[in-house]
This record gives sequence, structure tokens and C-alpha cells, in this order.
Amino acid sequence: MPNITLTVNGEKMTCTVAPDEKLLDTLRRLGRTDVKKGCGEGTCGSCSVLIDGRLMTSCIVFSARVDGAEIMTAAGLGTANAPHPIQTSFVKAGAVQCGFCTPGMVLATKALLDAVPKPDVSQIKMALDGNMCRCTGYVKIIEAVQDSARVLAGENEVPHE
Amino acid sequence: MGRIQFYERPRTLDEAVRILAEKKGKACVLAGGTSLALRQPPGVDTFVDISRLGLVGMEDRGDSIAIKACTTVAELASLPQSYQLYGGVLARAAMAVASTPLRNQITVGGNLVQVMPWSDLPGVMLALNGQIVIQGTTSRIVPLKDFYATHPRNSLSAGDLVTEVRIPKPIGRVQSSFVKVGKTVFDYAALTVTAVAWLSGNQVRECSVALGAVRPLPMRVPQAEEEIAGRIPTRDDVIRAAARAAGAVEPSQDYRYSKDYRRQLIKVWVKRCLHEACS
Repeated sequence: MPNITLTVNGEKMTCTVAPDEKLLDTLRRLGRTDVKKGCGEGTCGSCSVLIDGRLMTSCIVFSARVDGAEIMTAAGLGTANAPHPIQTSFVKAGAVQCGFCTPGMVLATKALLDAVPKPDVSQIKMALDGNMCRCTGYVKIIEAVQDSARVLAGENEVPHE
Repeated sequence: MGRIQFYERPRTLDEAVRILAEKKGKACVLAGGTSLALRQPPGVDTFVDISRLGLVGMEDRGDSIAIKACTTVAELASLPQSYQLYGGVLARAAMAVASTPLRNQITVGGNLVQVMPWSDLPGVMLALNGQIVIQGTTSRIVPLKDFYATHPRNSLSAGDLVTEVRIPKPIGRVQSSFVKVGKTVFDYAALTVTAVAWLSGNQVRECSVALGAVRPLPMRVPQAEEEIAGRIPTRDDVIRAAARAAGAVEPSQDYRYSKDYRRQLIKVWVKRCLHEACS
């Protein structure tokens, strides 16, 4: 059984995993239940996390393969008491309905804005192409990404009703 | 799940090959792991993780460019050479694969060997006369034309490890076109078409047309290529080439797309891709 070390949201953790264990299962076992299991086969994006800064679907990542990696989950981005501007923008824009896809969505947004601080709509669509939302129809999600880009760039916030 | 008992992390290529050979088919190569996460080959009890052997990026091999096996599809899409060589078809094909989080995991080698429904790279590499480099009990370089004569999962033996794919550098003026046809950007392809024209002035010296996703394995369409090669192709030549491609191929049928629909797609998209590559 492989022993692995992960840094999850800045906290170093060591654990023993089964050789075919997936990162999603490891993270939830370690109490990181902000990582959501949707399809379990890499299609829906709800389990997305950042692994060394890159967005991946943790349900099909073998835990042993990412030994030593830095993992960021949605709770590492920000919490209810101290939300990240991306999370605030999602709430403001009404981009959250059932909320199951949201942890993946905000991390996909984080990965995008780290690489492209001022994305256009087609870049936003491309960056979120692996994250499915079955509630909102994506319009408000795209607005939330645009809003958070403006906030992070220090521009004036566009007021929401 | 649960049949996998051992996880090997070799430090060198030689060690990886040795483990694979010793395990005699009970070990399989793990690179990005996306296809292994969904399905593990029967009888396998060991993963051999090759993701840390430095098999990443592109290297110059003189008359060809090597794309190393563990380069992710996202990395391939972002390498400058992917845009510069052959009119950027490598970058276009890479961006057509699956979705952003999956392109960060899927490797070039895995995409070429597994030939899964989301494998959009085999067709483009085949059209560019790529060669696959295999290290193992018998190290060899195999043209993709031969590599895809049978499914690579069957033709690769237990001790074989794909280390890179080589793409010949373009000679003279070369124009290319690539398209993936699907219902959404993340959908499996109904069809991919790659058309490449090697030009002397207006004359097409050589032409390649490759189709992906219409059959279980990617394929070249010599019937279409011979209508174009050696000519200054007219609109009629392109239409005739596309019609011959549609007639020559027996498309697969599945719940997504019927045989007839795929045949129609071939006719339309081979025409459009050849038109783009030849003009």
C-alpha cells in the first residue's frame, strides 16, 4: 500500500492509500467533503480540484500518482466567513442554485484567472468546458466569472440588484 | 476495482521496462491514468507509474520533432511548435480533446495508445506521417500507419513502453486543416478529419487525409489522397476526393450517430478540409 504525502489547502497530510484509490475518495476520507462526487468518471467536473495549480477531476486521479502535490479545494480558496472574491461573485450573480457544481466551478474560475486575468466570454466558456451545471444555464456563471475578474483587477464592482 | 495490489514508481526508463517485462502482462503502464481509472485491463495487478521519468515536452530529433509520451494534451496545446508546425493542426487537435480538466491529465502517449472515444490525436498524427517510438524488450520505431493496423493495446507486448511520437519536420510549403465534429465541444467526436497538402507552387506534391472516430481505429484514406496528389486541385477534384472517401469507408454505427449520418459527415468535412488545405 503506497504511503503518500499531500499538502491540502496548505496543510501537510500523510496517509496510506490503496494502489487504485482515487484522489476524490482520499480527500473525502480526510474530511475534505467540500469536494463533491458527481459522475465519478471525469465528465461532470463537480470533483475538480487544483493539483499544483492545474484543474483536474479528482474522481479519476489516482492518489498515488499525485504524491507530494499541493492540492487546493474550494474550502482552500475561501470559507463562509472569509470568502474569496470569486466565491463572493458567484453568490452576488446568483450563479449558485443547488450548489453541487459550485466547488468545481469556482476552482475552474481560479485556474482561468490565474492564467488569464481578463478573459473574454469565449475564454471563459473554454475554461469551464469540463464543469457541468444542470440548474443555471451558465449565463449567471459567466457573469460571476466576469465580475470576479473585475474585482480581482481592482476595478469598481458592478452593482447587482 | 480492488484487483490492483501493487503500485510501482520506477526511477528510470530501464527500471520501468524491466518491471513491465518481469510482470509478464500483469502490470500496466500508468501515465495520465484517465482510461485506467475507468477500466483496468483484465489480469492486471500492478500499476507502473511512468509520470516522473522526464518523458515530458518536445525535443528536436533532426529531421523530426519528438513529442514525449507523458506530455499532457494541455501542454501539447500550449507548446509554440504546436502552433508553428503544419499550420497549427497539432494545437487545434489538442484543444479538441475532451475538456480543460481532462486535458490537464490525458497524456499524448496514452491518447495514442488507448484510442478511446476522446482520442482526437491519433488521426492528426497519422496524417502527419508520425512514428511511434517503443522501448522495451525489442526497441523499435513504428510508422503510425503500421501501428494502427491493429489496436495498439493488442500489438504492444508486456515489456513495451511507448516513449515518444515523432513528427517529421515539414519540407517546403505545407498547409493543413483539422476538424472535430461533435454535438458540443466536450462531446466525443462523430468524426475528425485531418487534411495535409505538401505544395510546390500551386501543385500539391503529396496529400494526406486521415479520419478519426468513424471506425474503431484511425485511418488514412488513399482513395481521397490520390485524387489530389500531383495536381493543382480544382473544386471538382476536391468534391470527387470527398465522395470517394465517403464511398471507401464503412463507418461504425453507435447510439450517437448512424452509419449513414457518419458517411454524410465524411463527404462534407473531407471536402471542406481539403479545400482549406489546398487553397
